[in-house]
Amino acid sequence: MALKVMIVDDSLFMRKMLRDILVEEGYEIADEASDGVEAVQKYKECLPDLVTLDIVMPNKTGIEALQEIMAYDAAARVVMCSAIGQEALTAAATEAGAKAFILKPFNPELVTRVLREVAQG
Amino acid sequence: MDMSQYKALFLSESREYLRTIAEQVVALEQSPGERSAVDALFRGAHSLKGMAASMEYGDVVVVAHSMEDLMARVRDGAVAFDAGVADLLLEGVDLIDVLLKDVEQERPSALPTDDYAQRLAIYTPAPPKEKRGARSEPSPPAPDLPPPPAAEAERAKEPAGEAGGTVRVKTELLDHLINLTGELVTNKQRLLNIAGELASPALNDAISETAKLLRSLHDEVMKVRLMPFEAISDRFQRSVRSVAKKSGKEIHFELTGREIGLDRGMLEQLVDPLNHILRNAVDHGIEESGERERAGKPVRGTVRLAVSRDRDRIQITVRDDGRGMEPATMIAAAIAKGILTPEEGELLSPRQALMLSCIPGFSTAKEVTDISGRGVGMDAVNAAIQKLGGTLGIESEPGVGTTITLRLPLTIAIIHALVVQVGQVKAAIPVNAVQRTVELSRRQIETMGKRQIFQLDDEAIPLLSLNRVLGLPLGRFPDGILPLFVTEARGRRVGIVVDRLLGQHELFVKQLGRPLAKMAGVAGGATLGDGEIVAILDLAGLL
Repeated sequence: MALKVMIVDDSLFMRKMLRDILVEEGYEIADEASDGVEAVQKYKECLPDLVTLDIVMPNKTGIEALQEIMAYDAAARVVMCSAIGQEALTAAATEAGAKAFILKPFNPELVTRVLREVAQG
Repeated sequence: MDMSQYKALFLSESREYLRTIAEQVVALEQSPGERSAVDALFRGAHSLKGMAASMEYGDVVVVAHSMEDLMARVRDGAVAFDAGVADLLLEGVDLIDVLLKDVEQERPSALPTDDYAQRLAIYTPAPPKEKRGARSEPSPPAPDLPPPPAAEAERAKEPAGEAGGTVRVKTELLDHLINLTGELVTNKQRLLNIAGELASPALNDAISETAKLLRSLHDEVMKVRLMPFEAISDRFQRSVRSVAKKSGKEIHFELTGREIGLDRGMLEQLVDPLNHILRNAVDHGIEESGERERAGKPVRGTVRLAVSRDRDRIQITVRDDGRGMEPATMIAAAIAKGILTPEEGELLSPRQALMLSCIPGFSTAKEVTDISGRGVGMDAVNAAIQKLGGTLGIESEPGVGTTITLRLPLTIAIIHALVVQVGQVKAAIPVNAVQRTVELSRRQIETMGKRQIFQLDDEAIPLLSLNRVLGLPLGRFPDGILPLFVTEARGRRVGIVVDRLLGQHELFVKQLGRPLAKMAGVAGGATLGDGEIVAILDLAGLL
């Protein structure tokens, strides 16, 4: 059975790219969210197997959303997506329970490998 | 991954972000404290960068990334959002807009973006009106620091000059850049040490390449600190005029090279020495009009101040067509003052004789001043120039005139120095003060009177122990070889014996804080590649 992934990014362009990569790899897209508040809300609704979570977002940052998701579901598997320049935030994200990081721009091979590893625990 | 399918989406979403950025800039200008607008601006630039990076549109990445960085500095309180920031961001919006059109039309972009990125990177708001959560503000200058140079203030009054693509930068930021570059140079030395131990050709290549890049980085950073000589030259015109008036002489003053750029820090420290030299030229060099007439010279004396640049050195000459200096008279005066013995006097070359004017206690004597044609304070002038890592030379032809030549490094922060071991400590001597190094066999040492000397180029050179000067235990030299370097002190050459010569290093000079800065004979400190701290000796002050 295909794993369900929720994609969170404020950029439609980024979501579309990531969606295409994941669908190609056989994942099912559970839902998409474009900010932190929406991410938390939709996570509770669709309970995906995996989440790709952008860090720099409006309303709630990725880190804040991550903290709320982890508080709601300690078993959540969240992969943070960040662009160069946000390295300083990786420590905070790891502490909040992020399982891995993907650096933008997305490299399809890397994205699928990281997600596979996180999915397999 | 075929990215062309995302192009349309990229373009439309990018334009949306550009619109948002432009709106937020305007909103922020109206209420600069608006945190949400600051965040939105940062995010807009950040997202643009990420998208452009995915599409591999490098130019857009460069511009968006600089905008993001600038906004990060605004967000973190390091930079206040002012009209300057707003202008730069809107310029960035326009720039990306053009780049997006190029992408759309699939034509190569000829728009230069590096300049824009650089301006944003070094942007600092001109007058810091208020500190806003100033987390990364540099600490305020100590109250006892001298006020900023007048030239600096004058420059600040100039219009920003957007047309020429210039931007005003706080001097602290420049100093910080130079500091960082200096630290890199120190680190390079460390890498060199490691490479030496590993004996890896590949590593050596990489380091020598890095060294080259570092050298250009250093040069570029230093260029930013350069200010035209003009910034201080009007003072010289004024002081020559006033001295001429006071002494009742007619002087024609010429100045060339006012456009030559010098290190900002050095310029200020040149004002006093140059004023001294010029005043002396007018006061003591140029003859009374009667004397000039009798000598068949034009009644009006000429003093020329010329600044020129020769690669990485600055040369400043002050030339007068006055009475000149007579080496024999100088030597006789020095002997009369008890500065030299007659025997020592005989050993001096004409050039060395002229340099006697730079000996403390020589030029301050009034009677000598009048004979020598050179006035007070040449010792202080010489010391000031040496402190800047420069040299002072005097050429003179009796009856024709005198030329004083200052040769200065382009920058004062990084110097080449000879590092020596004395007792347990290492010390560095700027290479401009080192004439040569010698490994002397004990057999070559002769005794002349109370002094130990050795022969170099048919000149008897007295020996001094740096250990003794510094009050450290004397070296033993079991193999009978004494390492030493030859320097010039009080107008003549001296051999300074040390325990070991450790080689030449590129050092980044740091000023010592109080109370160390008050110590005579120490010009500053530096860190060697292995992290060890060395004192940079000011031999003129020490001997």
